[in-house]
Amino acid sequence: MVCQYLEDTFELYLLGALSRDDSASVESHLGTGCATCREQLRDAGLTVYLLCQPAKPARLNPKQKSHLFHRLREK
Amino acid sequence: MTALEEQSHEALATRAAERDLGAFAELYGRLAPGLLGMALRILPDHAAAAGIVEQAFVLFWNETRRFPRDGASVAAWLSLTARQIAVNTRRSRLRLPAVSGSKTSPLGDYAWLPHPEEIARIEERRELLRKVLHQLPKDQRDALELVVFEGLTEEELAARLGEPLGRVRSGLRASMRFLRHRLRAVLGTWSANI
Ligand SMILES: [Zn+2]
Repeated sequence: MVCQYLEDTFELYLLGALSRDDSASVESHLGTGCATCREQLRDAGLTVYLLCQPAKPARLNPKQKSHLFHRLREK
Repeated sequence: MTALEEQSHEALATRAAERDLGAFAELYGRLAPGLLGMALRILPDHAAAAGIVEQAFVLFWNETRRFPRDGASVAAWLSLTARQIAVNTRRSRLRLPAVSGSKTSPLGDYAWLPHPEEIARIEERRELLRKVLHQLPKDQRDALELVVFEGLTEEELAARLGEPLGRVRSGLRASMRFLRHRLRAVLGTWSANI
């Protein structure tokens, strides 16, 4: 089954780092609803989350917050 | 009614779906600083990075009604979405095409979202997990850094490093496998040794 080949690609898929073709094969296989791969996709989601975490959070200035909430109130 | 500070991110998102701005502000207060820290690693320009964080929250506000009510982490959605926006902004400044799947964004449906409890455990064990990252050889860590924070594809990474694509590709996959197994062990799902 293709599954084995896909095993280590889900993280790179979520990061958008695969070639178009590889990404399309991951997508079409996930589209079949394969339960094993969907589970692996969620595992990959965890790994990628970990990788994205910054060493340090940064301080936002209050203007940025009020800008956002102003936009939301307008919606 | 429980105080906002005591509610989970996901409970706050449910209230935000009912257009509760107070709940959304609480969520923002908790998650925005981490997202900004991440965005700044991708785009060192503070105004651009803050704009990315804002965009991610606006998208989430629009998405809250569709967002799954159970078992899907809000922090993970916001992190990966903000990263994708930041990386694509960076790439467009460099005149590179946006990263994404063939047709749609891989983040476009919610199937990839981890459980909120798992994300909470990552947060609790952040220090330990940072050590895990440092168990990777430096060249592999640097390669991951280029993929995660510069948004390079496998092919671009190979070109950047001047190495054959096959080697770069298997190196990245090996790093991911290593991290996935260690992460599982740290989160206690598997009983591997750290
Ligand atoms: Zn499969």
